[in-house]
Amino acid sequence: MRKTLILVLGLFLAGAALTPTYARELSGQEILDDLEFSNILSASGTAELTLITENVKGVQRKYSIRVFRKSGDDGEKQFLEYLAPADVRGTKFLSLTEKGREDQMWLYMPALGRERRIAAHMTEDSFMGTDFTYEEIGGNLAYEDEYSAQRLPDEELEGLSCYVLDLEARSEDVLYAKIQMWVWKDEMVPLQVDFWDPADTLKKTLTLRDFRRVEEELIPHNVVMADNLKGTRTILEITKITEDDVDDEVFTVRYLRR
Amino acid sequence: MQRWIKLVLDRPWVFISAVIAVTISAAILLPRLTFDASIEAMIPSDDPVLAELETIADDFGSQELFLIALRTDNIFNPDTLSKIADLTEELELLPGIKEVQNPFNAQLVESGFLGIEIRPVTANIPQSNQEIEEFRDEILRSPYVGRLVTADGRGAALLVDLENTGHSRSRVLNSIESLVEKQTGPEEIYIVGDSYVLHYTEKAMKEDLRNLIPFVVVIIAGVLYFTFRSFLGILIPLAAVGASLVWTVGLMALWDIPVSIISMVMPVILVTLGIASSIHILNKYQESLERGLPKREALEETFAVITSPVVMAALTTAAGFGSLITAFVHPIREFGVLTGLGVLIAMGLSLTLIPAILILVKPPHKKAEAEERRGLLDKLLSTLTRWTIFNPRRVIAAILIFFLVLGAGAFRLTLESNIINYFGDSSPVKKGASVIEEVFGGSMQISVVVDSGEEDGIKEPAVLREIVSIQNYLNSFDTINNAVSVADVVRELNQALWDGDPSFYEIPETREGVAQQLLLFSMQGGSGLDSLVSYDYSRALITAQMKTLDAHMLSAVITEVETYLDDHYGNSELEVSLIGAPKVMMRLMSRYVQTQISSLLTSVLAVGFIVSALMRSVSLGLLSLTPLVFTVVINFGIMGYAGIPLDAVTSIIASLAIGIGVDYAVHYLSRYRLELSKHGNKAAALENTGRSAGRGIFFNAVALITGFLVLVFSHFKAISIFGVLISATMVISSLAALLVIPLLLHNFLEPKFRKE
Repeated sequence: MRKTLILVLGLFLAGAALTPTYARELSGQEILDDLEFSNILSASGTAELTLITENVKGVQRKYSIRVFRKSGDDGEKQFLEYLAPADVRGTKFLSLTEKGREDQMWLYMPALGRERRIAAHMTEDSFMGTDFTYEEIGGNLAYEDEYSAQRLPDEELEGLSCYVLDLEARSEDVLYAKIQMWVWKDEMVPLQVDFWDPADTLKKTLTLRDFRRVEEELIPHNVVMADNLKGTRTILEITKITEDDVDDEVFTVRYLRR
Repeated sequence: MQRWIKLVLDRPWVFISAVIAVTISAAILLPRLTFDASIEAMIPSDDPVLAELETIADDFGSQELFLIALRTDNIFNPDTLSKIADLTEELELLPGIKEVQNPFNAQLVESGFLGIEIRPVTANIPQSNQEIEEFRDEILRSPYVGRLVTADGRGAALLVDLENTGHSRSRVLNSIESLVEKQTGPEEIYIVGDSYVLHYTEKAMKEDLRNLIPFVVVIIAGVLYFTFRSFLGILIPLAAVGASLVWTVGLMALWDIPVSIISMVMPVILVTLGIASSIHILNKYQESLERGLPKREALEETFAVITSPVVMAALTTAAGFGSLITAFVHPIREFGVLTGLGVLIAMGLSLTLIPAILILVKPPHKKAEAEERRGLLDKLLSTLTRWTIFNPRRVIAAILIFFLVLGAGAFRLTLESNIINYFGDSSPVKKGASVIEEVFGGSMQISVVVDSGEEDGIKEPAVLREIVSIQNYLNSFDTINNAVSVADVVRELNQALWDGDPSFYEIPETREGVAQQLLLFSMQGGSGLDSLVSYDYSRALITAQMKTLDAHMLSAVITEVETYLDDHYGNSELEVSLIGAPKVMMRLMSRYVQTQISSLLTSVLAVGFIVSALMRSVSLGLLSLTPLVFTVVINFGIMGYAGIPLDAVTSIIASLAIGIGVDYAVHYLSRYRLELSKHGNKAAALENTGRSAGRGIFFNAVALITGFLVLVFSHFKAISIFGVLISATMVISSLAALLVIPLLLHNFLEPKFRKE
């Protein structure tokens, strides 16, 4: 009796354990839901980055930046400070995106000795003049709302076994008509994202590499966005990242001047 | 030679089939032929002027100006504004176009209620009266006056950024062309830019070739019919020149030599020259037949007599073309060598293919030439000769006056190298350029590069202030407008940061100030910096628009600017240099003069040498060159008086005139030698020569002039002028041969004629 019970239970458990993997493949949507990484600048915390922009001929401009972020239900706050090169050191940038309030952006230029408010609307398409849009650097890479996911046959990317997702825009009201994503099966993190425009040309390619575990989470320490039409690239290298909470005082105009 | 002609007459089919075989192989190569009308193609690719331009394109992107210009009474009306918006939208949809800047989407840096703002002039296309009013105020206050809209509101421009790779330029330009065509009216809309001029030029070249070759064939067929009144009399010469043309163009394709605006005239020239020698041969053949000789004997006699003058004419003509190899301008060299080869090929074919065909076909009917016409011409020629014998002083005086008066015009000769001036005033490219000149103050891009020698050097306020002063200096010229640089962006930003206070339209005090403002600019999505400053901020570019000037003014302005830059920055740490299309043009122009001199000297030497060698007399060689001195000087005189500049096309006329024109003198002298040995009496010999050689010279000149005049119908003003001038030189050199040589022979010279 006990034996049979154990046997039944064992079979049941085995069945339960095996069913999701063997009896049924993960759907595209499920893979998206299971993604272990949303984006570099999406969570709250601080980071120090090297931001490299590269023109068509491979000439680079290199900046070191410190970022403080706080993301909550009522909106996002971001504080950014240039550490290098020397001539822009101390330039600070504050952006407040709060629900129910107009977006605000402030810039403090040490050479000027004062902060200035800058209009937000031109910054929509490019994050700090890089190849990233704000959405691409701070938004959720899962894109569940605007895109519907389809699974394509699995592929290997640099020797890593990946799920391949094809995301089709649900409406025509989006920047990209199609997005393709390679998700590393072992860790469920995206390794590459291709962005296609409505004319079906590959506009941008995002590659995420050098994943390291930071406070339980896998975070890519080398992120490259290539604009295939312009031939430019933006390289983000994370030198330090934490998810420590940041004092609200940082996100004030007064703090800019400090 | 005699043996050769017997070989041809014995086995005509061997020669005919060989010619057909070579012609077919050459024809197979023809589709490989390419076209290149670019001004860069005129300069050797390793020339420093081009290298400079390339470096700049590397750093700052293509320096080419490409825009759509729109002109009407007043652009500030709903329809025209919508049209500008529509055009922009449609242009941006075309593949191969990166971006279109128009008066609506142009960026303004502003200090507004919400803070510093880099925003388009207007997000919506103004339609109501009030919106239009606001838009007008805004744009006319902006830095875009004179660049995207005119101050008087009569013109607008769309700056088009073309992609450099990936798309066929001509396909892109064709679609732009049809778009513009669709939108034209009531507004005038023009496409302006070097690449459009190039595109249009290539199209015009192809169209010219399509039209002019059949045209010259028809005209020449007419001349042939008039001369021989028989089907074969038309067909045989055309077959010979047709084959020589195909061979020559086949060589062009084989050697990957693109058709240029100069070599474009080659077919017409080759056909015309080839026909002239065929006429000569057929005339002689007919003469022999008329004397009652049977076909074979008539042909043998014809070629015994004709071979040497035909070879000599071909050699001198080829030498005239060949002398162009000393030219600086690449396409002129190619044209010279190829056409010279073509002339020799045509000679070879007329000495083989023509007898081979003639031996196979029935001899043509006796020609019923109108005796009256012959009488009239003979009378005219005799009169001409008698003048020179009996009134030498008067004739000499008349010739000298004519020569000096016309020749004096040579001192007024000007230069031209701007390809846009190769077109007539009614061509769309010329019209577009003149609209841009009129409303926007210039259609040529001129640039000054400031190299600080170190990374981020341009951010130094001292350097930026120098840039401002160079900019102001450039703008101080009436002929240079709209000089812009990175210093404008910096000053606009500075002003905006200080609440739009105009007194802050200045360069910040410190390098940090500049760097931080530029950072703000790029953070804000500001664009256009890349064309003004290199990515590492070591070099900056000041660009301005320059009016199309005549060569004299252009070089005066360029020299003045270069002297100024050298005086101010020759010893400074900044490396400052002037670049751009005007400098390429100046380089070309200086080289046209060099080309002219070197090719003229070479052709005189080569032709003189050939004639002396063949006639075994240096004095006869020199004598035959004298009519050409007249021809060349008068040609330059006519150009000077008519205001026709020396350019890529007209600079080849003198060499051609010598190579072709010397035939008349040679022809005259050969005949004179014959007559002198017959009569022993100078006067009688001259009179007979005047009549018989005169007739040949007359018909030859008529055939050549008729053929060359076909070029008048070219799309290119430069080429039609070339057609007229080269025809004029034929008139002058034939007349000079008939007047000057007898004068010299009768009054001054006793050349020794050795027996042949």
